[in-house]
Amino acid sequence: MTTSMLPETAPPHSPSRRATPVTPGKFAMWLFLSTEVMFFTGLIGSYIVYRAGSSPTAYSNLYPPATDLSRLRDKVGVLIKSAGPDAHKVLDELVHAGLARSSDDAARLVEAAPHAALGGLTNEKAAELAHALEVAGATVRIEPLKTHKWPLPYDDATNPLAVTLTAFNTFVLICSSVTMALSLAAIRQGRRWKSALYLLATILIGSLFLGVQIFEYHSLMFVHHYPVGISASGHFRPDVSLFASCFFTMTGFHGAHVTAGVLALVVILVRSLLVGGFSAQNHAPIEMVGLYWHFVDLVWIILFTIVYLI
Amino acid sequence: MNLAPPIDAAADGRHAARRTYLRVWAALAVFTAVEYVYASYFRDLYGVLVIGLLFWAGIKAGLVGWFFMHMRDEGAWVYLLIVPACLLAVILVLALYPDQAWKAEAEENPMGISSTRGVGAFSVAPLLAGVKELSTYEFVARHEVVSKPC
Repeated sequence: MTTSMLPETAPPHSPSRRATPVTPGKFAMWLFLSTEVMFFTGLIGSYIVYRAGSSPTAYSNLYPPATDLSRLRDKVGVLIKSAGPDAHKVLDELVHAGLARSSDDAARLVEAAPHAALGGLTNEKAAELAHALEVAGATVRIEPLKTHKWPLPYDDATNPLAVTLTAFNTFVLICSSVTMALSLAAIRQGRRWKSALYLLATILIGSLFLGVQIFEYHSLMFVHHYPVGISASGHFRPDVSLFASCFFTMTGFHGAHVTAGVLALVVILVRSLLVGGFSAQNHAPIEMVGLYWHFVDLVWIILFTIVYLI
Repeated sequence: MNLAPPIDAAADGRHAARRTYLRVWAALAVFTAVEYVYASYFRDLYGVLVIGLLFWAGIKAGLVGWFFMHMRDEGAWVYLLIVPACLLAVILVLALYPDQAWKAEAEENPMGISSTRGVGAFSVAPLLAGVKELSTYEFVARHEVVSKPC
């Protein structure tokens, strides 16, 4: 390499806009980030390819993902939008119609209202069931079979992801990126305490991002009972569909990166508080962790768009 | 002749950097809000949705890389490290995509029966048409059309 390895002493954003000196540490970090580009490409690329290759009938409003629909195409479903004032009557009707083995089974079905779908019915059977459920006080609708290649955003029958919550979380991560950048700017001016405060803010905001992600995972996997078009079991877990496994793999690996970033920031913060910590002339670790943190933010911007919005 | 060191100029530069970070942060927040509204508004226009959202995401990712990661201040060596990795990333996806897409298109036959892998051509028509995703079917409606007496 012909570029000289100089200590980092040049002021940032000098008016002449000369390239900042390259240090071995910075070079190594960028090399590491280029391998991370390949890593996340593996994940995002696999997602795109799997999505492109998904069967046009892989997801539907009436049946669990990947159900063989060849014998169900002439069948319709009944959608329970609300169980009404007396849910027990509705549950009894479902058991009576043979659509649930027990009241508990029926209750799990109805829990997915307003998207609780009962599929595999002939037109006559659906009309009978809809009438019986309406008499029991439920609000219902007869639904044709609709299939999708992949769960569409905002389609509550096939896609459980909360776009609003994640948009907020994206904003949270963006905030952590600016506090990280301000921490580096402060230490470049020799303001150690200010830099440490911004580091602390980055750690707290990054932890908030992780907290929201854990809350989201917990809601998806254990709390909500989703319609059958999302999961046969009612919970959104990695094994319920290709979409679910892709979602958890991509966001999980990103979450692991954020966790590693928060831990690295904690180490840097402790070092910055020690006597003889960082200074205007010696702050390379803050810059290295900052690069990593911004990269993780950048990856999330892409993941949010591809996984949640498209 | 003023021989004083250019302290004010350096300080101005640092304040300018701080202002730049805050402006980039504000731009990222606004673009995130725009993405959110855009995705909701164009949810049924798949082509417009994909192209628009990738555009906004590209702008946001570019802002983070250019300003927060200081790519604008780095030498060519950074681009020598990152650009080949990004190119290989795109090539990897493009190399694998057609095989899977052909397979899916060959299977897009609502009345029937999956055909062999590799038949058909890669088509961006659904994307460019800006219409509702073509792989979404309403089988009852489709069945009624097909079963009309000739």
